[in-house]
Amino acid sequence: MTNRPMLEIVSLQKRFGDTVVLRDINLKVAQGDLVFIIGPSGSGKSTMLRCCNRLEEPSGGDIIVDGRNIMSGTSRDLDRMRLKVGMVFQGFHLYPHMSVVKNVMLAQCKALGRSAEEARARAMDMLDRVGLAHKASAMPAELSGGQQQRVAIARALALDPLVMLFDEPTSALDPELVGSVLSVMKDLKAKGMTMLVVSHEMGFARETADRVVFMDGGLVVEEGSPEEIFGAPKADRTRAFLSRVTR
Amino acid sequence: MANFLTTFFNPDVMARYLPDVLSGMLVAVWIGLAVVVAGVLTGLALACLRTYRIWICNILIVCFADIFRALPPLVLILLLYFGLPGVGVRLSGPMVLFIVLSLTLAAFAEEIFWAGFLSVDRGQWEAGISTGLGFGGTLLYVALPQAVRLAIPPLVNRVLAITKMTALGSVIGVSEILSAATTAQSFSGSATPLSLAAIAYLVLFMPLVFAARLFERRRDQNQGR
Repeated sequence: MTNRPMLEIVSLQKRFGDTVVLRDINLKVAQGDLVFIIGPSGSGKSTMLRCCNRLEEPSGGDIIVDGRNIMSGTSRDLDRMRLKVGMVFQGFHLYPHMSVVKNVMLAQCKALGRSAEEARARAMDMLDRVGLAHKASAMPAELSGGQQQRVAIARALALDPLVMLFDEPTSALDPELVGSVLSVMKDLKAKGMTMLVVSHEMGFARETADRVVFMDGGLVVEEGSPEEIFGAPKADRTRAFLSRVTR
Repeated sequence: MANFLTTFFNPDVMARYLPDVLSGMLVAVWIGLAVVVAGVLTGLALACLRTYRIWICNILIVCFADIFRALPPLVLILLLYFGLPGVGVRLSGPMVLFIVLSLTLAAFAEEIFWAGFLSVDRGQWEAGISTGLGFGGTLLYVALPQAVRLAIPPLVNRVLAITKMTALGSVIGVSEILSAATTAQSFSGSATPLSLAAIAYLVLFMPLVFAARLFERRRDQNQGR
C-alpha cells in the first residue's frame, strides 16, 4: 500500500512545433515520497511538471494520478483531477484583488463546493500551518515574496491534494526568504505529502528527497537516492552538471 | 454687458422654456442610462467571448469593434432613421438613437475590456486552472474582476463621451435637451434656451466627471502611488 505509485508518468512526450522538449519520460512517485528533479535549464523539467496537471498539453504518453489516467475523460473529469494535484509556481500567482484568506477559499467554494464557513475554517487551518494566520485579511501585495509563496502553498493544500507539484518555488525569492518556504515544504513531507519538486536547492534535496532525478535534453538521465546522485553520480552529464552547480 | 445678458440669460425666456429643457433632460437621462447599460454589458460579453479564442468568433468581434469605432454615430443615425423606412422598417427616433449609441459604446467597451484581459498575467489563469476552477471559473472569478478594475477609468471616459452624443437625437426629432433648446431658440429668437441646454449638460455630466476623478484618485492611493 505504501509503495503504490501516487503519480505515474508513462512515456511522456512534448513538442512545441518542431522542437522536442520531452522525448520519453517515465517516472513513478510513490505515496509519501518526495522526488526532486534537477537538471540544466532547457532540460524540460518545468515542462514535465506542467504536463502533470495538463497546464501544458502533452504530445503523447500518459499521466496517472492515484490510478486514474488524466489523459482520458471529459474536461470536467480533468478539472476534478486538477483538484487532486496541487501546484505551486515560481511566481506565486496569488489573486491580487482578493485578501489572503479569500485566495485560499476561492477554489474550495467554487470548485469543491464547500460552504463559505467550511472553506474559511479550512483556509485558516492551512494559513496557520504555513505560519500566516495573522495575515489572513491582508492583501497579497502587502506580503513579502516568501509569505506570498507560503499562502500559495496553503491555497493548494486547502483542496486536500494527493500530490503537490512545486515549480521552482524559491527561485524568485530573496535568499533570506528561501528558508521559510523550504521549512514549510519539509513539514509537508514530514506529514506524508507526495511531492514532485523542480528546484535548484541542492542542500534541501540532499536533506529531504527520497529520490533525485537528473534530467537533460528531455530525458531522465539518471535517478537514485540523494546519496547516489550527489555522492556517486554514474552518468558523465550528471557529474558535469553537479560540478557546475555545487561548489 | 446688458446686451450679453439678455442674449444668453434672458430671465423671461428662461422661465418660459425651462420646463421644455427639463423634460429634454429627462429624455436624455433615460436614453443615456439605457445606452450605458446595454453598451457596457454587450462590450463585456463580447470581450469575455473573445477570451475563448474561437477564431471565427474573434474575427467577427474584431470586425464589429473596428467598424463601429470608425463610423461616426451621426452617419449611422441618419442611415437607420432615413434609410430603413425604405425597406419597410420604421424605428422611432429614440430607438434609433439607442441602437446606434449602444453599439458604438459596445465596440469601444469591448476593446477596453479586452485590453484589461490582456494585462491579466498568464500566471493568474494558470493558478485558477490548476486549482480546478476550469476556464469558465477562472474567467469569472480571477480574470474578469482584474480586467474590469483596469478598464474602469478609460471606460468612464468613453461612457461620458458617448452619452453626450444623445444630443445627436436633435437631428432626428428626439425631444432631448438640445432639440428642445433649438426649438425654443427658433420660437423665441433668443440664444437663452441654448445656454439653458449648456447648463443642463453641465448639471448632468459634471457630477459624473467628478466621480470619475474621485474614483481614479482612490484607486491610485490604494495602489500606493
